[in-house]
Amino acid sequence: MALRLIILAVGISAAMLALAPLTFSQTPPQTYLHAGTLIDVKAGKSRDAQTIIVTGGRISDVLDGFVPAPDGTATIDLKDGTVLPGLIDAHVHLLMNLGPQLQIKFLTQTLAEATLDGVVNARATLMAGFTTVQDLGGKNDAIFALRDGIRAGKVPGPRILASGSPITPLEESFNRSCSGVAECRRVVRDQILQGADVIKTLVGGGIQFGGGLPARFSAAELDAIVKTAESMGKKVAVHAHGTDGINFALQHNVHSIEHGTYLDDTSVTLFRKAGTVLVPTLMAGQVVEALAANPAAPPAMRAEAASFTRRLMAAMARAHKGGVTIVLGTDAGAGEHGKNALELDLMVRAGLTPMEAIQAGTVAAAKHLNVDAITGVIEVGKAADIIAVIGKDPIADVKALQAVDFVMKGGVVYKGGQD
Amino acid sequence: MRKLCYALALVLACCVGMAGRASLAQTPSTTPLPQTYIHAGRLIAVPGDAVKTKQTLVIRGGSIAQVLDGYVTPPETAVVIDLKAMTVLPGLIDAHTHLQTTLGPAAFLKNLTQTKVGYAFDAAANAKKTLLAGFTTVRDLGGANEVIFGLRDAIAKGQVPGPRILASGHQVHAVVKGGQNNVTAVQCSGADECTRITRRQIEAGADLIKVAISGGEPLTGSLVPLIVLFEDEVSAIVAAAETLDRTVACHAFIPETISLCLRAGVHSIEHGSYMDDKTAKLAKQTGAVFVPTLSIGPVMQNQAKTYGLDPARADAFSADMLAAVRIAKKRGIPIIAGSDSGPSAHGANAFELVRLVEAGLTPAEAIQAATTASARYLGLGDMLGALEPGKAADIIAVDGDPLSDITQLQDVDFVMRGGVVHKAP
Repeated sequence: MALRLIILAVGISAAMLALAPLTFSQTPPQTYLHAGTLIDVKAGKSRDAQTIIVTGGRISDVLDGFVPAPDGTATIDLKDGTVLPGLIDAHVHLLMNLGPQLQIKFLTQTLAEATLDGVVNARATLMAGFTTVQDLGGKNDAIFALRDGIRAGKVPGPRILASGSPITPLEESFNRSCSGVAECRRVVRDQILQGADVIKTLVGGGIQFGGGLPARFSAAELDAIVKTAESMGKKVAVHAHGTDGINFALQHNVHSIEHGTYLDDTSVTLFRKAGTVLVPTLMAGQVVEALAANPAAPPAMRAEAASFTRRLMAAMARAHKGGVTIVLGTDAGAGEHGKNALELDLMVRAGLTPMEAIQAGTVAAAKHLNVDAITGVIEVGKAADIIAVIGKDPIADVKALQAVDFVMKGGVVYKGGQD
Repeated sequence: MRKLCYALALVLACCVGMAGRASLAQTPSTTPLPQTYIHAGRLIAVPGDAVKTKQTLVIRGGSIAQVLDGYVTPPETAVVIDLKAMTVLPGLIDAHTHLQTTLGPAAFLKNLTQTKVGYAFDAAANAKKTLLAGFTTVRDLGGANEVIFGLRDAIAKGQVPGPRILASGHQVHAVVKGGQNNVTAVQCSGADECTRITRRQIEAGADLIKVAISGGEPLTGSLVPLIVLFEDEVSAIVAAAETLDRTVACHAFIPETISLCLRAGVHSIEHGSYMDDKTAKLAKQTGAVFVPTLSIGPVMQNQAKTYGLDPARADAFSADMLAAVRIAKKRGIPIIAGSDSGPSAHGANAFELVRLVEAGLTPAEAIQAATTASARYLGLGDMLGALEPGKAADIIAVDGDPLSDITQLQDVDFVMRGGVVHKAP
């Protein structure tokens, strides 16, 4: 056994310790939460008058009724509230803030600037009730440092799983490129060694950058990327808009399609066959639509962009009807940070029930991100990632989640909860 | 080729030594005694065979010339070593060491600051400890090329005391920190590059190739592979090594990665702590040997706390390793002693034999795992592993009877390597 092995073991165990209490401020030894209504996302129904006991950052019990706390133990009164698991956004870019200057900023932003932006955006995301996110594209060192800094309690923010730099056929932006099976194996391996929790790749160009080459890996290259990631226990998230690209990626058993704008019935069959999830990022449609107003954009692109949210919604509806697992992802960074819950409203408008939308942003997302042992539901043994809205019912109107009143992550209260 | 190198090294060492007259002083000497008679009270000449009493070993020019019954009186010019009160046996072989490595909390810092020269001095000190513990040959499975090849050659020339070394130098991984600038490992992706990297290693001086297929590391609690090569890549490494008459040792822990290495044709499985019956059957088919490195179990148990790892998991790991040995033994897989010194303590190499006995080997089998079986596997069976005419005079002695109490080997009183005495009672 090499020394390296030990170092690896220590590094990995740090990752495995995600269940340990994550202290930004001091984790209280024990807290009782009295929940007026508790949404059981697993069962898909709500229960009234529940007591959640949080011990050392984890949920240690969930009891019927409002059980009084022993003397000296804090009680958080959410009797007028609806309590649910912390939300999960499977597609963010914490280091990005899209605006008219985005492309210039991409070129000029230093790693340090990106990191500082990330700190601010992570906080906004957490305060919006999102206690876990998957970051699908940000400069390696910056996003990994932000992830690890939040985990260590240095700055407030959601739990982060991060891809770091996307892997692409072309050397665009901060991406890492590879050509050929051997090099694609190496880049995936190196990306994971550097700290990637997931591999992000692209099939075809990004709509928002219109005019980009519709670059695509060869079948052998994409196959190498998926197999190498899987050999290291990681998933592959694929950005794809066009039908051909989506179906090409699905044929190689990628783990998620991000956006999926022009998916068709063949895609739906392939999704189900491969067990791939769809992350529809409906909010990204609004960003694209904003581009339609830009007179500098090519006319064909403006026409397409103008109806983008509608197209994404139609794609999601088609996939949902076809039995594809839908996972919430906002593409925040392209859109504004801290507004992530708007995605639930868009999902409902596209055809999900509020409960289904909440499940897409909790239990289903946790499973897709491989953190279902840690979070995504309120049950004994899970991290105390708990949010609440007061005086409103998100099951009746999911827009209620756009203004959460209470946020706890790993047993630490970040918002609300005062008596 | 490898054998030839060692034969040459021996001859060289002998020639160098002919000039002077040796003493039994503990200070290492490069000088084999011209003619030495050892009077052995009990002699385990060929581990596994019957023990003989009152024997005389005649040593000339670094090799064993004769093994005679009784205490034969030597000619006047010869030196006599009286080991009448002792059990004499062949020098032990440790098939898995990291001489340049000293594991501990300080090692992390050291990795960042230590130069290769610093590692070379560490390696030399550890080599001496290893030799004085009765291990006259080691197979070193991972260290910087320059450090371990330099030390190997210096020991062969008699410049510094230490065991004979067969060395892999840099380990081959799928990916390593710092890429090709890593100090102790090289990386390859794709069969072609793995072929090339194997050839480069052998060109640089490697006696064998060490490949690390990570995954299921004992204390992560996860059986998800961390860093793995694919079968086409390991196969390419094995093919390239074999064309240059080298073997491939594979670091692997779980059935999936052990099987991958076995299918690719590696020659030994290192660690193999979660080997199951199916994997053992495959090993039997491919002819690979098993180096279970049991010594690291207790190391993990002791250090779990230091590294913030789960002590219960360390306990389980330490026990699981023993079960793997029992499975392998049942399937008839050759078991070879390798302590993984570096992570385990240098000079405590014989603890591995104690652990092998704990796992269910008889003391005689444990000794064979560190002598005859090991020498045969290393391709040095005609030179090492037994005390017979023509073999190297690598000889150790202990007070008690290691065949009834294996722990006797943890306190070696006499060490001769290539006819040179390094430790005397």
